[in-house]
Amino acid sequence: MTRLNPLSLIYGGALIGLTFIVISLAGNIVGSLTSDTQFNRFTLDAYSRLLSDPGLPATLLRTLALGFGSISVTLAFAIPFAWLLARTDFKWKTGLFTLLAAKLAIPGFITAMAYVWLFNPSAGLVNALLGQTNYTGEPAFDVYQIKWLCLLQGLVLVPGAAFMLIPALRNLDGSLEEAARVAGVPAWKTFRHIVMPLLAPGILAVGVFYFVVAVEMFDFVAIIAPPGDVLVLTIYEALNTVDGLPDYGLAGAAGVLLFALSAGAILFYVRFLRQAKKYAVLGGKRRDPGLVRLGKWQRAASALVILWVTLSVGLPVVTLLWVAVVPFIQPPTFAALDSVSLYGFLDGLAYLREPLTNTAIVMAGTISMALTFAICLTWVVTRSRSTIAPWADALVFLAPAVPAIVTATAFQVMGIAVYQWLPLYGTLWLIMAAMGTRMLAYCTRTMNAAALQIHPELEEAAWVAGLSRWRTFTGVFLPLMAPAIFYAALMVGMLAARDLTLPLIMNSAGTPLVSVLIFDLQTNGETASAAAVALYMIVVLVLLALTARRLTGMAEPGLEPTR
Amino acid sequence: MRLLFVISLIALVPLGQAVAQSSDLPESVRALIPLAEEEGALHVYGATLNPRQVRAFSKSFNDRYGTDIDLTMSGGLHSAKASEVAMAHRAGVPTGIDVFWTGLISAMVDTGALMEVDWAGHYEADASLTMGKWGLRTHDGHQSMVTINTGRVAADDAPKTYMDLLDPKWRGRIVIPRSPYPWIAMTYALGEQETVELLSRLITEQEPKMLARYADIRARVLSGEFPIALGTDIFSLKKRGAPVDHPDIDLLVLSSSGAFVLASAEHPAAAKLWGLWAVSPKGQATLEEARGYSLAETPGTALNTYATGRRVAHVPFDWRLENHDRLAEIYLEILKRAGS
Amino acid sequence: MITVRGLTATYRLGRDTVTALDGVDLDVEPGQVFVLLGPSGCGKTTLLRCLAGLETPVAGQIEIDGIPLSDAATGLFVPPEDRPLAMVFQSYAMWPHMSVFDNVAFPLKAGRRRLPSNEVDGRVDEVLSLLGIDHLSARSVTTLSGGQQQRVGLARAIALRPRVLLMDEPLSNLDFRLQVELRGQLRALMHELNLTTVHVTHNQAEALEMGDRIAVMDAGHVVQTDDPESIYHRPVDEHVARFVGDMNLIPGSVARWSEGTAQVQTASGMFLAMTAENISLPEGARCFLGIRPADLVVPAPTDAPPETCLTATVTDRRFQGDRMMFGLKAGNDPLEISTHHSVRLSVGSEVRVHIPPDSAIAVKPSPQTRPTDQSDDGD
Repeated sequence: MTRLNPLSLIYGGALIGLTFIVISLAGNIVGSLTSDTQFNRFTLDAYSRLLSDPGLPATLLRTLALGFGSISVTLAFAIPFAWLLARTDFKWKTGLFTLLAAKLAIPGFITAMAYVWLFNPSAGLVNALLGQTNYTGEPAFDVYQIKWLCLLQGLVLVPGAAFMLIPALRNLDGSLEEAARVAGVPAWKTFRHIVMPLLAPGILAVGVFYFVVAVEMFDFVAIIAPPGDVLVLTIYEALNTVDGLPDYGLAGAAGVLLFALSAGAILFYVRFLRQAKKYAVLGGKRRDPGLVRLGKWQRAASALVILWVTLSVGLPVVTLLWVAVVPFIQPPTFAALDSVSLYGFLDGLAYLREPLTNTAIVMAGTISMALTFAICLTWVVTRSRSTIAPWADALVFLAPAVPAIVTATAFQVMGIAVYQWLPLYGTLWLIMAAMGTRMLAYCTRTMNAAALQIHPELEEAAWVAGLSRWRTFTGVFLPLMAPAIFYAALMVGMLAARDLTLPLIMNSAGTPLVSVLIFDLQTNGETASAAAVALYMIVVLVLLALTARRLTGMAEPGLEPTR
Repeated sequence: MRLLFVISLIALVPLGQAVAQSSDLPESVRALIPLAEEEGALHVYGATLNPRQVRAFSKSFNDRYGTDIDLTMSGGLHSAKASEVAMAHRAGVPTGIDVFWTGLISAMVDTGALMEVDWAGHYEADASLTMGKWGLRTHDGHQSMVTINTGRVAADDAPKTYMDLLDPKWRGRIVIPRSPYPWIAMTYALGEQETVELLSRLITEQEPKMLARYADIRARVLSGEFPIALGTDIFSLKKRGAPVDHPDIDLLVLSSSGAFVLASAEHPAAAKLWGLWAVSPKGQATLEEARGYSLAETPGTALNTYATGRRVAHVPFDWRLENHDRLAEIYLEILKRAGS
Repeated sequence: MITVRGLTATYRLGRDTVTALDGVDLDVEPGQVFVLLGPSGCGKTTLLRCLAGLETPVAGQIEIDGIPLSDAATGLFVPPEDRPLAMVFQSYAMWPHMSVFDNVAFPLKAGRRRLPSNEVDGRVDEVLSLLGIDHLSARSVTTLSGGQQQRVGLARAIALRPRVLLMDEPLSNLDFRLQVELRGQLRALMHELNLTTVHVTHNQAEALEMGDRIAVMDAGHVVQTDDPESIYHRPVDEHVARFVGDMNLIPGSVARWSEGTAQVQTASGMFLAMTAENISLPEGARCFLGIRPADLVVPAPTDAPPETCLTATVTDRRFQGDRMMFGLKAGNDPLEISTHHSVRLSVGSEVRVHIPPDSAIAVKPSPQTRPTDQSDDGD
């Protein structure tokens, strides 16, 4: 018997990951070609229905505007934040990290709700205080506009984007920045002219990735609901018929249109990368970046952080705290103060135990699955000379464009189809696999960027020194990837804890998850308990993130083991 | 075109099923109890409940039959789950679900995924509660209801008819679901022509805010941002002292939800017992306490109180099966005109 | 020109704080090529980075031209971009997204010391042709060889016309022949431009050839600062003697000492030797009798005074082309001798070796108490 080549484990992992991606993509495409729910008759009917809609061009334009608007806001904060955390002596790094992590744990609908209360044109608190509502004339602020939607989605995506950029920044050769500083170039210009261009492939990847995410997000579209359709609304409507059959055809076709938009963005990225080979690091010789002294820029950095924190953490958390102590959702008034009680917190605590355990299991499972596949895929994409590697990468990239609802359905269908061989249908495992698949793209984006910054010489040195490729993988590649792996794990964990769509569709096992509990309490009108549970969850997740960061030594960016 | 137009001034006759002791249960029902005990567990899909509500459901259910059955409640997106269940049924894959507790089940009807249960004949349930050959009506949906914020709208200023919603003073002041559902049910009561006109004028003249999710609609009318909402009930919120109410509108349109036992149910006996429990007085009280759900006929419930003395249009199950898809397309089309 | 006083720098390694520089004093005169020489981890790169403002000292002061740049006591710290210096990095730190021209021009356009925009091109062309790489101007730096990159790095620094040029092992990534070639060129260029240069290296030949003055460092301390010949011929202690060129060190003790000379008692007899300036050798203290392999004369001339000779056994012979190396043993003390290649001594034979008193040197042992933490400071 031939001995199993350990390297084939890596390829195997990558292959399973890809299979999952394909399931989700194929689910969408197959769906678009069916006119009923039986999936046994194929037709282009859905496309003709979608394309004949005279409102479609406007819908597409709005979708594009939403995507570009959101990523502009995201990058405007995420790039400086990532740099502050990874490369500078910024004073409030732990604070910033904590707040970024906290933001990940805040349910999106709460943020949206807070903004609606403050800035809605008819009764928004800010408008009311200014005495300018649409009852009295022109409102001062009108949250029901696509630009507000962009702002909110943009703010929400900041932590993920920042965490995606940090590993790439950390692996950037520090002497390139130092060379500029010593040559008289101030910190800000160094950042703009040296760090930014070198990070360009990474930034573009993040931009494209979050473009795809932003056009697929539903939470904010649902609550802000600016006039006019965006594609994700079309999809939601097609699938979430209150009564009657889900229109998989129309949802699929709209999903395929979302792909097309995303694929365009991804194609642009791939072309850019091809000519960006010149960005490859020059040699294995590099020094760990020293921390850039911000000096008087400390204050500017703090101001930017405070702005973001106020807008995207402060407001929603204050909102949550308020909602948690009043019997039903209402704007804060003196009259409402009478009804304040801690009932929601007590109730929430009583509800939390079992769902919290289940959520912890789902988090752990999703992290293991997503990371294992992602590491394998990243290695194959960046290290093997396989010709299919770039295609595999593009395929993974495309996956987030599949709406969560469609991914969930695709995995359910697959689960049913393979049940007699692999009875995962109806278990948490299938949910974890689907979640892992949705987050795979996030992981590989984060890791690819980092892997590209690590000079292959470092691994070549190990092979030449007689280490097997497997030992090189585990002994050199993985340790060097540690920052990327950490941030990917962090992100996956947070998103898995918060994800609602997949458990809502896939969990028929009666194993409650925290996210579903919050959703249910909210839908059921138990908003105080819902807010209390959300707050507990934020605290738990933030503590978890901080502990993980401390245990893995990621708290001190400049002081990792020298390479 | 002559539309089905049935308005019943409901005579709220208490259900004949009102029995409290297991010894009073019909023989056929009592025969289910040992079988259900053997089965030991039951999974009802339809609504996620918080742990306290699950305990309340479980206690009331088991108390009625003197059993100790492990009850699981779960929920999610019904339409997606229904087609999934149909698919699983065809593939012979167990779903783990015994009762599908929902409004419309057409995805499952054609595939034989539902078990035919003779609720009225064999189990002596009230005949008016049956839904086709499969279901037992457990509560009446009222997604066409109008809600006002009492802080913003004086009681006598509130709309008295659906047509009052078209009063120019409500322009930009109404929030509605982005869903054809309320209008489909209303069609049964008002007729297609009138409903189309009402919706069209509402969209073009009143520029209502449209939201995808019902919870959001409730939140907006609660906060007073929109004085008037359509498409949701607020009985449970009102009970908690929220400044919302249903105005005195001349017409109440109801379409029902019920318990459907799956053909693949692993716990069929327990499943049937659950349906019968849900329509019992204790069951009804439990449903209303947890979710605000009840049958319009169940005495003393908020819905019953509201319905009393009012014109009630009860959309028949078969009519819905027949007309849903066609009407949905018409109303979606109209809804889409907004904002574009 | 450059004044460093009591400079102390630390870094954290896990939970420990390691001292990389321990109270270093330094004075560099204008126009000097000043070399910091020492083994890996001695703190020389940390010192250079402190000068550049890339590290923050925990104690001590740095001044250039009488202007304080860093003073831990008052918290003064001038950021790197505001210091009147330029630096050449060991890795060259080429900005890979820029051409050769842009690498040189960028600081002139965007930096604190930027030129009026109409002067940038002229300045860049000037330094590129000064370094003989004007033909590479439009090339991407990623396509350059190591030597070419090194020149671009130098051009980038020189173009700023800095008051002080810092060079961190600028030659260490080049092949040997190129290193040797560039040493002379660089030194000539520095003097031509009258640039005050601080040059870090671990290569003693490079240091001796290029430096006007050399500071030999060990474990965070400057052990000896002197001109190259004094460093070579009058090392203050064992560490300097061993690190700067090979030296035979025969253990012994001080028999007599007066300023500049000493009598050293060894197992093979008593020898007269020179000492470095400014050190004192108390009588009876342990010391070494140091002598360069090339300074030993073998066989000893017949007229050599017996008190300048010792007897040793030839243990091995190594042919090195122009030189012949012999390994000897005098009692228990090994000796290395470098002779003209024509000298023939047979292994196992006994020879008399002459130690010329003006070539011998008495050196102190390195203090045992000196911290020996080896920081990885860039090698």
